[in-house]
Amino acid sequence: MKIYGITTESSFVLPNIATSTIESLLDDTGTTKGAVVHYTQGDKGKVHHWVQRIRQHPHPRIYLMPLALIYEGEKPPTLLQKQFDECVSVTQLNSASSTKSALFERVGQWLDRIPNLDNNSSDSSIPFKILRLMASRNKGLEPILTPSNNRGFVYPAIEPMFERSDDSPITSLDFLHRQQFLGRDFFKRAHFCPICESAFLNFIETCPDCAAENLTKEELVHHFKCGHVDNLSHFERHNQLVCPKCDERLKHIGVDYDKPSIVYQCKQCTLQFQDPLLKVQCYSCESVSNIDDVSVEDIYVYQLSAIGLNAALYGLDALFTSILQTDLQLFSNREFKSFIHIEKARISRYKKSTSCVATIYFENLDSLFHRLGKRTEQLFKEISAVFKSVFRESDVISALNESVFVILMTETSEENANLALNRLKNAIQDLFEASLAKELSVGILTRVHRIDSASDLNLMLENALKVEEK
Amino acid sequence: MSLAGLFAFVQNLTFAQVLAYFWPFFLLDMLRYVIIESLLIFKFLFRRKRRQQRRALARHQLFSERPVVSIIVPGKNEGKHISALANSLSQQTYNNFELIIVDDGSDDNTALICRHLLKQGKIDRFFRNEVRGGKASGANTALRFSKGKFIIHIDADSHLAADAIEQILLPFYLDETVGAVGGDVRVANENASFATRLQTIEYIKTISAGRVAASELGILRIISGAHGAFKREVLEQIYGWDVGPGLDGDITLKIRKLGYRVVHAVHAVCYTNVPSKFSSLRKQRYRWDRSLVRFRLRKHVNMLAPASNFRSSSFFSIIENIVFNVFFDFKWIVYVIYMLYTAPHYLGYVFIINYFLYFLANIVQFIIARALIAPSYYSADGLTPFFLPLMPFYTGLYLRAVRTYAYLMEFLHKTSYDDPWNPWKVSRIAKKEKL
Repeated sequence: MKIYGITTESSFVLPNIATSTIESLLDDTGTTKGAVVHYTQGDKGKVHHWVQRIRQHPHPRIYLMPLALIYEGEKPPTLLQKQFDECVSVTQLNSASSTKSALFERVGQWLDRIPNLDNNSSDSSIPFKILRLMASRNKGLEPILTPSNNRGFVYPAIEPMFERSDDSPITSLDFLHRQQFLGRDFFKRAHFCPICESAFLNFIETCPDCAAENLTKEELVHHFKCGHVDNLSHFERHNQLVCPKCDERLKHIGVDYDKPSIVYQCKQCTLQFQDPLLKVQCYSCESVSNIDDVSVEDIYVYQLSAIGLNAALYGLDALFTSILQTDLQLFSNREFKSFIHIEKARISRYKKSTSCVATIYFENLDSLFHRLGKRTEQLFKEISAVFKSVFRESDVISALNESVFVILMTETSEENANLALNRLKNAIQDLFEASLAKELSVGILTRVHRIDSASDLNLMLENALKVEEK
Repeated sequence: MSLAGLFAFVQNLTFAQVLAYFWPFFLLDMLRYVIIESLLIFKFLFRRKRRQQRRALARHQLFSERPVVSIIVPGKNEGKHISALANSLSQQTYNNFELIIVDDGSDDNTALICRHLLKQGKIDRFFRNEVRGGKASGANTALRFSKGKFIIHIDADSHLAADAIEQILLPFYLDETVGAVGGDVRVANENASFATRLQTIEYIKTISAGRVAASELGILRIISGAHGAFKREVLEQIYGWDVGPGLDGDITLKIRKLGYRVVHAVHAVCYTNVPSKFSSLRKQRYRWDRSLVRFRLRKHVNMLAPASNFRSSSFFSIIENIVFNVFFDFKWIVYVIYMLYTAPHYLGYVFIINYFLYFLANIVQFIIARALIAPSYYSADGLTPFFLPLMPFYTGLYLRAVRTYAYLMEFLHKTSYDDPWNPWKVSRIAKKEKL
């Protein structure tokens, strides 16, 4: 088995590229564009180990490296195939190589867009690495069903990012979904052991009396003419159905007889019943549970959201706030509260000043990401510049969340504060028009509160949120 | 017509005229329902007193043997009643029983309710037939899965007095030849309406008193589906119930044909909800009355033939039934025509006197019946006897009209086969096979 490091963006026809060692590949964060693994049967473990080492590397150029698997003869297992970006048979290599190199190129271009990517870059957060892997491939994440994992399914593309085979990938994906970086669609519903969460369960019908599993199942027959009801076997006589009550031959189901139900008989205690008790035994921990205790969970297919796409480039912090953060120096909520406290004390002490708190709420900020994609960053930078021009050095700005901002405008009357906010609104509105985004329905709602000794920041924020709700 | 005229008419009546004008009352109804029935009830009360020790012994035998009793409750869409029924059964003095519910293709939440009760342990077995097969198939399904030495069939919408199971089992221990015992059925919703008041009196008269009398005479011909007990071996011999409607009367006749005695246990009390509207009462009776023609005059008419299994009591049971119910039902037509012909001027007086006579007869019957059931009698408010004056109207006109119509329809059109009480697939076969 060999591994080839690809340094050019040309096709990866095998004889043209040089064999490499996994160590040299992992050390080279500058020139290696991708890797091709030549798979021979029986090397499954080693290949998986190599992929793990690559995907677990902290440098984006290494862990995002496009990987191709080339095999001869029998196809490698699906789970292994799916850990690679491409999987090609040696015989198909020539015809496939151009599309493969296109993929390599796309990943390369995406890496170039990452700001401040240098030889010392290092991503430690696995969720973030997942986002970047998905963004660089522009692909969703599909689970495959497998007996090799206790949960019965894996996301093979991200599996090598984790050291052990447990449910951490699911936890990470769930986290990313909750943060709205990933959207998801229903894939499958599955049952899991309530003790060990294994998906490998044996559903057993048991006797409600003695809990034995050895049951026989038989149909009941109802003869219309005489009203007799009995097990099917009691009607069977010389390959015919004959009623034991009236000795008449049963001819047509639905016409002179029917089968109204099914009965079970316990071979152990001979009890006859219709509703066997359904139990579940786990193959992993061997525990037996009631069917009602089994946990039922949904398995999803994940796709990157617009927010996730930006986060992949700029980090998990919200894009807009992070831009404002660098341009304007946002204060934390706690700091902001302290400023308000001080300002309130100052006003009540000297009784000369008028200060205001302005709240700004951006409606549908998410839609910007969806419509503008990578241009969002540029727009946010420009909005940030507007913030900078409207507010003064002495104003204190804080973000309640990505969409709600609070600004303490010292020595400003309500009238002036409203003027400033209107200026801000108009400037941003112009910006949208200039960015050909005027059709976007991003509303800007503002509110001004005058500060006096009775002012309550929580109340103001609440009001701001009320505006938000409207 | 005046009050004075009425008195004058009564005073001038000769013995011959009394017989001529009121023969249906004196020769038939008074004789049959007042004199003979009262004598039989007195005989029963007298014998019961004498057999007190034997009854105590039988009771001891029952409780030392403690046989499993299967209480079977087949029905469609009866889920709402099952919980109350199970609760009433938990109060029984005899408690070695299994409660088997058969859901005959219900299309409501019966199965859900019953499965829940099964989990709670309030019922012992539950079987559901996805496809409806009718009352007989439901009862036979329950019989198929029952384990008891005795099988008690009860309706889902009824409930039992606390000693009902014990009382209904005692006759089996008093006499080995008893194959089936009918329980007494009384009205649970006595004070619900005018109709239920009248039915309360009717049930006490015809079921409590009437069946005791028939039982004493050895001609009891019906065991109510609402409350009846059977020896398992007997039911197995006849393979359970045949297709209804009227399957309770049918199975009683089949048991009699086998040579077993059938008796009525008047103190094994089951309370059932009777129709509270005259319209639904009419429909119920229409169904019941038609089955008499179908089973007595069609299916089991062979009991009248002197065959090997001929029994005089069975013969008389059927003859009494046919004569008093079918032929005498038409006697009032004959009577009216006869009166129109012989005494057209006195029709008004004759009607008033007849009404008065039947009212008196009702009072006597009620008092005797009431004395008979005294140990197990329960009344909601004690007002029911005030409805006695209306009984001649109720039984003499209302029920008679329904019955006559039912007989005619069954004789002429065999309408019982079209009754939605059975699924169509079953009725079709029953009609074709003349069952």
